[in-house]
Amino acid sequence: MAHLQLTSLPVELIIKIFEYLDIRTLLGAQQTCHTLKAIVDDCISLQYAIELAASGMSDGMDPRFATVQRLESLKAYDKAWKELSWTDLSDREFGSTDGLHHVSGSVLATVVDNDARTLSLERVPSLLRGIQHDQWELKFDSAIIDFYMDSAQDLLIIITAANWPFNLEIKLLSLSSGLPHPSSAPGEIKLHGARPDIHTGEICGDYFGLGMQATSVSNQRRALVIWNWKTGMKESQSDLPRAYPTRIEFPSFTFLDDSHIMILAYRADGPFNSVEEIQLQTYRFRTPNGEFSPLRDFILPELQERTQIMILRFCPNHAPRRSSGLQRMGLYYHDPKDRLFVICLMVTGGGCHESFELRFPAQTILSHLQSGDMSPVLWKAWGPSMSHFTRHTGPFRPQRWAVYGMKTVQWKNIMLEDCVKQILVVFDYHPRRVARSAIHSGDQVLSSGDSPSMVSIGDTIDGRLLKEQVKTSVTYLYKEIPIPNTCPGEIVQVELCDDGLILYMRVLGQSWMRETRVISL
Amino acid sequence: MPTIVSVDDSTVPGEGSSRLLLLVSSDNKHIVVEEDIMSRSRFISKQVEGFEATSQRHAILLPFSSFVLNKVIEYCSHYRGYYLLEDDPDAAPPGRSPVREWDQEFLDVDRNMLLRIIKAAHYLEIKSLVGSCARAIADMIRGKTTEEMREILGVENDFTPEEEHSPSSKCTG
Repeated sequence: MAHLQLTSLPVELIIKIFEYLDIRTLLGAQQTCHTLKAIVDDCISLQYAIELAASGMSDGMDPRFATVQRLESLKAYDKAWKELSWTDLSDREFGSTDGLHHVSGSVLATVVDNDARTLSLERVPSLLRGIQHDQWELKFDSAIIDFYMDSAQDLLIIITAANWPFNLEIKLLSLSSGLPHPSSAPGEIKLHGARPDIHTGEICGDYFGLGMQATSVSNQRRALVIWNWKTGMKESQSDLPRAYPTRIEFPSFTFLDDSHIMILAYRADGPFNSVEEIQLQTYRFRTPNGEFSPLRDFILPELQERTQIMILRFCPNHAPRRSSGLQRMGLYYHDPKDRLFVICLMVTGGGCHESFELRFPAQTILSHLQSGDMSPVLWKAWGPSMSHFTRHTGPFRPQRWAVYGMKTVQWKNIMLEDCVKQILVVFDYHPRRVARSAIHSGDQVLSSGDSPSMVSIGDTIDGRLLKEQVKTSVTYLYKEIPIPNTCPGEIVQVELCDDGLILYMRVLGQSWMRETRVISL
Repeated sequence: MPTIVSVDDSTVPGEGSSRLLLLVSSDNKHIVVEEDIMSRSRFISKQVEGFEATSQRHAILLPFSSFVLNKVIEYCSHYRGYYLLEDDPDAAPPGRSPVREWDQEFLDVDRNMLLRIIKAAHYLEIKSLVGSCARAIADMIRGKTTEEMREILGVENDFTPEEEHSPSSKCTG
């Protein structure tokens, strides 16, 4: 029999085969010969698949639009994210700065201040992704203490104080209707015992975690509970800390993925309570005995002697965690697999204080958990090449900068023509977007000011309170966005969502804030 | 010019079993197969509809060897009477075929054979088999370097060195 070549097949069969390939292999296959390259270049569905992967998006499978329209729209969306130009400068009165406020996907939610029984919601429209603007309100019988949401699953978890001050009631609702969520366990989750003073929560797929701390003299209990919100079953519960004298800076935990959590802790000792070691502890939940099973500890850079910790916590990442949700909004949506974690660290010692941030993708930690080795992972083994350690320059209020998917935004002051200007800084750590940017900067003149710049040499941080210089080398995209002159005032808060940046400013001399949209794509 | 072979209706056995078809391969082998085994093939189904319309049954000539044809018949026999979504002409086509273990074992053959089977399945319009073959071929090259892929797929490198090193050819992943 003569040898058959792939190229002897009809084109539609070659495309069919290529549709089964991951993007990396597809791009490799495209490089084998001119015929295959032309087939991939001319095929809209393969181009769309490549574009989705390169921009970190997944197809929303909206049947109303043909592939060619999706591809065009996705390219325009990508370009808009690179340029980040201000498109919607309308002012909206936004009440006081202290209102509870969360973002998920493209949904913004705020507790209305006067009675705290009303939640005001808004879906940010996206012309390019085909998402309609929507605005609605949900009313409750008792005051909202806190709430968490996952717009990809249409889930709203409300914590109310029905029986104040003793119990917390956790209601599982549909974000769009306010009625009990159709997939949730019937009834509500009740937490008995003294009401915690501090709590923090997070939704990850089927799981909802709540960390609580009571700070009264008689009760200093700290606990972390994880429920499966669909069955109502408690998956894991633990009183923390697990090992004296490790101090858990609590509440600060985050889901690493569907079966792991991370908790920040440190060991302090001696007459000055100086910090000996900061640990990022990993645990498996969903264990047979319902307890957290400890995995490896990841050690953070060492501090000088006699340094104390003021803040050590994760910044919340508001991107939904699941793609197979009830609502895949839009033509395409952000792929939730890639996720950035940001730790804020503020330390004090010798009469000064310093703030740092440590940013790393989920893969950095997961790659060290696969081996089964349980020994602690030293900073030099995981940090320098797979994370970004940086000095925090903005005002240090953790709720005032945002992490979303693989991006993070903060603002800083710069001196410009003898006056202080505020600018926004967006960092993007998505490995494929970074890789693509590297390719493009090869063919283009570097001074195209519209595109983000790529930082590949890494950062070196000298800190007075750090034991030694900290060098990290992860590659990222960096873009500064000036605040337009038409927006006088002081930045109070910035949010990242699926379709852009939202800026909250306090206008000088006014008690209310104004909301300004940067790119509403 | 291929010869037309008539099949007399009287050769079809009764007892409710399906009628027989005569398939002729490119190496001129005559293969008799029950009609409902081959009903998974849109191409064969259309031929049979033609027979009914004209009340004339004849042999169906196929442009591939008996070796390949037997393999396709083996596939169709295995799934005789089974519903596979991809082969339903009225169902919305799924993007990809699901992984079927039997298919994976069935298609554990060399590249040449796999390419012949997918060509035959395409000619016969058996979408489920096309999908499984496409998946199997994709699996052969997944994670391989471009050079290894050329080897596996039997593809000649016709790029100049400059083209090979152009930045747009770099991987994004």
